[in-house]
Amino acid sequence: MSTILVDNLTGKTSAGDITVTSEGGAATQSLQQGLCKVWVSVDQDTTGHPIYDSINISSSTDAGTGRTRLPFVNSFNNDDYADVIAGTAYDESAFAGGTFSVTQYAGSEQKTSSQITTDCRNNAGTDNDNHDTKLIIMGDLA
Amino acid sequence: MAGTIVADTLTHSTAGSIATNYVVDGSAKAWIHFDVPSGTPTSRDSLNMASITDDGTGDYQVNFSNNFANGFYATSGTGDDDQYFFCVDEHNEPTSADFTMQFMYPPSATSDTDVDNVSTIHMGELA
Repeated sequence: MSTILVDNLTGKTSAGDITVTSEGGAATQSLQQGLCKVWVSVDQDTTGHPIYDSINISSSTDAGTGRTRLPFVNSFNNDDYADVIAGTAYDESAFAGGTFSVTQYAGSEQKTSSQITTDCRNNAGTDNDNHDTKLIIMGDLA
Repeated sequence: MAGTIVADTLTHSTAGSIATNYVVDGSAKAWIHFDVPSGTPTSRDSLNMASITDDGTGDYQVNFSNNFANGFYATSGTGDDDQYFFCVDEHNEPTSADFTMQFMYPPSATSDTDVDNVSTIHMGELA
């Protein structure tokens, strides 16, 4: 077994492109593009929408019911990144929401290369603060 | 000439170690962000996606450039609408080469609908 002691990985031919071989050995793929650039778990039903844990998120702001504004530490190249989000109901018997959680695509909180805002609603379509909202983003950093 | 490193573990000076199989197995093998202007899905950015097929209103199939080992990879997705279901297409199970999704409106969830700003992420093992 071999171990590499390293703080930074940089491509030799192209600094932003390190290739890894697939599990089956039939393909190669960019390491950088396959890495998750943002993940965050947010508690929306506590004042201020505090973050449970995250990577590449600098802060969280309560931007309204069901809305948490999340600026990135390192920005993306553009707003074309892929973001998926899910909300967890605090009380399943009350179905407190989470099914229709998305991120903002238009309006004042429209996602940008430097931040994203959640839009979480309950089963009636009404804005709803989730006990636990999860967001993952894949894309190209600047 | 580009170099190749064969290693089982990467160790950071302060942040700990990770076995390289987590790097390979734990990286997303495909992702995409696409819009559906005028009913035609159009990619904005992606990894390992060859094309998108419009399978009808609210039904889209993404086709991978490099196939997965099988159809049992994990997928999550969302779209730009605050009242919908993102589903695996009930008539088309995921294959190693493509994934078909549906967007449906509740509460009956019987009517497909086109949505914009669609994102999907696919985790699994490539062939």
